[in-house]
Amino acid sequence: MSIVAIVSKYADESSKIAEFTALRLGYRLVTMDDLIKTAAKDYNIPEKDLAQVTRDLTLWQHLFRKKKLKLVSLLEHKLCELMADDGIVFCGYLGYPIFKEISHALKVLILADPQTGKSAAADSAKQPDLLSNDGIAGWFEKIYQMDMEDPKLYDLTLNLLQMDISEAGDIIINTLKQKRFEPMTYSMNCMCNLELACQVKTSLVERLGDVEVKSHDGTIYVYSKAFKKGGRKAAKEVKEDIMRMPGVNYVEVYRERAPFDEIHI
Amino acid sequence: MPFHIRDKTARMAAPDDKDLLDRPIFSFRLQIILGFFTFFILSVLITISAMITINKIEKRIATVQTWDRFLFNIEQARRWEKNFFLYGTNLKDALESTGAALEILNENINSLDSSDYSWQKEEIIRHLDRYHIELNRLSQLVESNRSQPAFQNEIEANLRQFGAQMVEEAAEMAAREYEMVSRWLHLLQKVPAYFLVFLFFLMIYMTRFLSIRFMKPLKYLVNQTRRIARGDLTPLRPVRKFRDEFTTVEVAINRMLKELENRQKSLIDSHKLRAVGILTAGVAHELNNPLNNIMLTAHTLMEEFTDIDDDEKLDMVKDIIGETDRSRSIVHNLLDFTRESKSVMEPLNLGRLAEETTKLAVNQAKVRGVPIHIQIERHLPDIIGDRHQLKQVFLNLVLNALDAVGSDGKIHVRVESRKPNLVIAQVEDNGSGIPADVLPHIFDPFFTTKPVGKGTGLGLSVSHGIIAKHGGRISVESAPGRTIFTVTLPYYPTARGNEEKPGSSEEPPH
Amino acid sequence: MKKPELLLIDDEPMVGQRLKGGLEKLGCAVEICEDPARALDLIRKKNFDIVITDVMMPEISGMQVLEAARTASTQTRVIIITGFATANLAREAMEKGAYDMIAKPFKPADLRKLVVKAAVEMGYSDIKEY
Repeated sequence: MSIVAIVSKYADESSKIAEFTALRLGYRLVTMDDLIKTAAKDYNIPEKDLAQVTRDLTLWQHLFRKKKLKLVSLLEHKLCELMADDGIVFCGYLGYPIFKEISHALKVLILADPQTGKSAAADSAKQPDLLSNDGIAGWFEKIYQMDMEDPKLYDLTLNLLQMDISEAGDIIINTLKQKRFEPMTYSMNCMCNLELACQVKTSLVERLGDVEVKSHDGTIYVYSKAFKKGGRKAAKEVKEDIMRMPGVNYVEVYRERAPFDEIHI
Repeated sequence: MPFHIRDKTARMAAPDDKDLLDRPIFSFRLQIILGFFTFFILSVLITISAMITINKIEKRIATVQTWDRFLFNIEQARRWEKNFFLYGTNLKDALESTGAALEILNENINSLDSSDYSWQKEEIIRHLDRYHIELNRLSQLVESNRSQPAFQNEIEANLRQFGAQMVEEAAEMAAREYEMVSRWLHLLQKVPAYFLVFLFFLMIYMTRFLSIRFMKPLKYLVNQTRRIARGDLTPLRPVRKFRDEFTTVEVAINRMLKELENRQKSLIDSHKLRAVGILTAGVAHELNNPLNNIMLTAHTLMEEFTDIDDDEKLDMVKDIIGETDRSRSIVHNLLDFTRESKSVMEPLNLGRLAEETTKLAVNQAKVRGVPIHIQIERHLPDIIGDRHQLKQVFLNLVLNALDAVGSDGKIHVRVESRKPNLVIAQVEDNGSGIPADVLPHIFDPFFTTKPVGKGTGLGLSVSHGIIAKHGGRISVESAPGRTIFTVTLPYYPTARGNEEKPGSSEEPPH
Repeated sequence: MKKPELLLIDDEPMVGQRLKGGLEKLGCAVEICEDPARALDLIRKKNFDIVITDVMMPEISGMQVLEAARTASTQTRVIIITGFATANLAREAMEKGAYDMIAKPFKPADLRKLVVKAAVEMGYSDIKEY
């Protein structure tokens, strides 16, 4: 079954649309909270830590950075697993690089009245650790180096100034009826590749910090600047560790970022 | 300290500047100094000659005066002599005057001798002497009071004869000297006028000479900058036999050209990378086919290992090897294009080069569903060029054509020779064409019609630069449904070595 | 027992050569075609149950084959095999009615699984992986 990924900095509105859509499609709804709860339970990590990291605007520059990045990676891995599982509607601001590459994931951007953001900010007085709208966009940009509200990143952009939540939901459901969003062997394979890549990344991020992992039919490609300092030994250790993971049959380690990441050879 | 600076530039000079700096120095400073020095020397010469002339005139005037005084005394003596014969006055005064005349002659004999013409010195002195003697004889005769009319008559005749001769000669001398003086004066009058005329022409000449000397290199530089603007980055060659202030400019321009060339090279390289990025899609497909064949063959071999005979197994292994070779050649072809390369000018068959390059893009074209037809003349003469850079030009043209055409697009690549000594390569597409207002700018750097991020706008300007460097031309004609880019490159008869090798015939690469 | 009619189109001769045996063992009537133009003719003449086609081929693209096959019979299951698989191509193929898409290089067993799945869906119950 297909996947609906709803991305928005307007948490309240987008989660309402997600709820509506999931109910109508009979898909499983996964919100950021659900994701955190599931990950906390499965990986035996305090829920508070995971929640904290999704609200931490300083995670890319602080002490324990690698630890925090690992938590993000864990969440991404969990999201990947959930997506591979069955038809889901995901609503949140995490994991864009995962569903970006899946042809059967309908990526939706929700825009809303910025005024509603103010009320959310007022709410955040009660819950001081909750990110504001702009905070969410900032988090997204810092971690994925992309503008969250760039329409080019999405299949569908819905503006809640022009429609209400049920209309938006209908549009999403109708769009999803298009055959182009049906899963197939190729896209399911992509999904598997992504899941394995996420798994490998999670195992590496604490050691290497910034690391990018791609996978293709059991072949793992690791890109990290950390190899520049550590040299061959570190790369060899990493290689050996990854080779031990199930499903991996070959590992390539690079110092540079993937040059043409939109190409799938 | 111009010399100091020049020495410094000479020391810092790159080998390319050597030709420029290896000439003798003949700077404008030196030329101007030389000009003024010539003026000065001329003026000094004129002044000195004027002074000499004046001095000579002065001397002449003294001589004239001497002759005048001499003549006066002689005439005085003749007058006394006449008086003596007419009125019987004494001869003492006549003798005195003659003595004075002789004295004057003796006194000035040196200055008269230094005169630049000969004069009958002996004659005059003899005549004077005789006159004096005759006078003495006459005076003795008078003092003795003896009347000897015959003797007196003889003396009188002698006196008349010598006196007249002497006066005549002295007058002649005086007149001669006068003439001399007036000639010198005349000359002195004319020389400044001549000098002025000469000076006038000299100044005209100097002005012309200097302005030509200034304008010629300036014009040369202007023409060179035009050539450079057209994209020809070959360094300036020495055209004059000597070095001057313009050499500094030329050296600076050459350095700039070198810098530009480096810049251009890195541009070419970065542009190459972009082309590779575009090509990757095609190469991915191209490479995945042999990989798929290997995968399928290997798996089939594994699955059916026990069911098939050895010959079939061997065939499959051979297939795998063959497909591996094919993969390697694909990778090699791409790498050959990407490789950092030194610019090597070598004889090339443009047809084969165009074919190789087009093959790089054929898969990209397949992705787009656009057929590429290649039509190459047999037995093309070789041109001299840089293989990698020319490949890049063709690739760029083909990729551009590919961008320009729609789903029913067609691309034609043609290479043929033209008289005289030209090889032309054309890339034609049936896309929508280039708008007329855009057409003149398409070879400008950073001009692009592609959306931001897709094209750098450097493609065609880089191509233009490369072709200009090869001494060729790249031109475009465009109408809706037909756009032709034409690359014209010269070949040299000496480069016709490989002519006999068969060129590729008209066959599409796929 | 009627065998499912299968047409395999790829301009790489080796693909058909290697896959034919395996697919026939499944119980399919396999026809191999290296020329997509001829494949279009074949599709127009005869209804295939399953069409497997490459995408990037000279002159005619696999997408055209897909469209032709779907026009000829909506029952035809078209499986796309491509060396240039992207999310966009996958979506285009699905939108045009492809049954499935698989990226090159693939294992013969992967394709066979898809064929079995398609054949079973079409009611050929005795088709199965050996």
